[in-house]
Amino acid sequence: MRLPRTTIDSSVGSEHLAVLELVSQNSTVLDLGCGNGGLLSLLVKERKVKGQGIEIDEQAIYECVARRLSVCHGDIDAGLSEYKEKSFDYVILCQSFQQVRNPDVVLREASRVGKEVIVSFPNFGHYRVRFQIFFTRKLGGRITGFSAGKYGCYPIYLSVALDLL
Amino acid sequence: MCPSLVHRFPDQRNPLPERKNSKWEWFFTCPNNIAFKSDWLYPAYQSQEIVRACKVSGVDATYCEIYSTYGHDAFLLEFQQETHLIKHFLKRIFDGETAPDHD
Repeated sequence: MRLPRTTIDSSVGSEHLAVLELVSQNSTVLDLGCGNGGLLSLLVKERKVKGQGIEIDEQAIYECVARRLSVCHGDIDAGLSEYKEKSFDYVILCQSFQQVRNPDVVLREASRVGKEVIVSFPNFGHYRVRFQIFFTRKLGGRITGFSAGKYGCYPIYLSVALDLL
Repeated sequence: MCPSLVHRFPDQRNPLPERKNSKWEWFFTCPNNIAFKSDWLYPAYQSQEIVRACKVSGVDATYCEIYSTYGHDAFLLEFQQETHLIKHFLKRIFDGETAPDHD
């Protein structure tokens, strides 16, 4: 499924484009940790999806609302009990999975609610990141330039690093 | 506080009817909930109950909990945030769901 790249703003991140290629037309999407709604609004525009987002940051919700998205202020660690089984075609965790406290619970809930689950997280095994960790010993926050969020990305970093070393 | 009127409280046994194309139908079935963190008269958990009921019925709902330390008076004082949320809620109803390129 190739994209009509000319219509897409060049500021769109590569991870958003990768997710866009996986999502089919007129589907339903639940974006967990949707941030400022960049990915969700891209999907609404390009794939005509019916999307909903969940976000914990208040300022990010204001940006989502300005983009005319349905977004709920909530913590995905608290579960998704109000959604029925397989009620969405896709559940997306785009660059938010490294920030959750209970990744097993979130993944289980995501796979219950969605027919397909798309997860993306920063590549902590990349050589530049490893050099940065080696020379600066900064374990949280600045690892890849992604904001680490409220709880930092230390726990998932450890597991990924052990896995890759 | 709920700017749109939820005309019937939906639950699993009595879900809301299928959304029609009419803008007014959409207005009634697509609630935008605003709660204030420190409001103890209309606490945030009650707004969350409305939102949860909407989700159970498969209705799109927007929910925002505005951080404020003014208690129940927050709805008089945090008008900038409220204006932003309600302005875009009304724009979405009357101009359609597809947003213009982000402003």
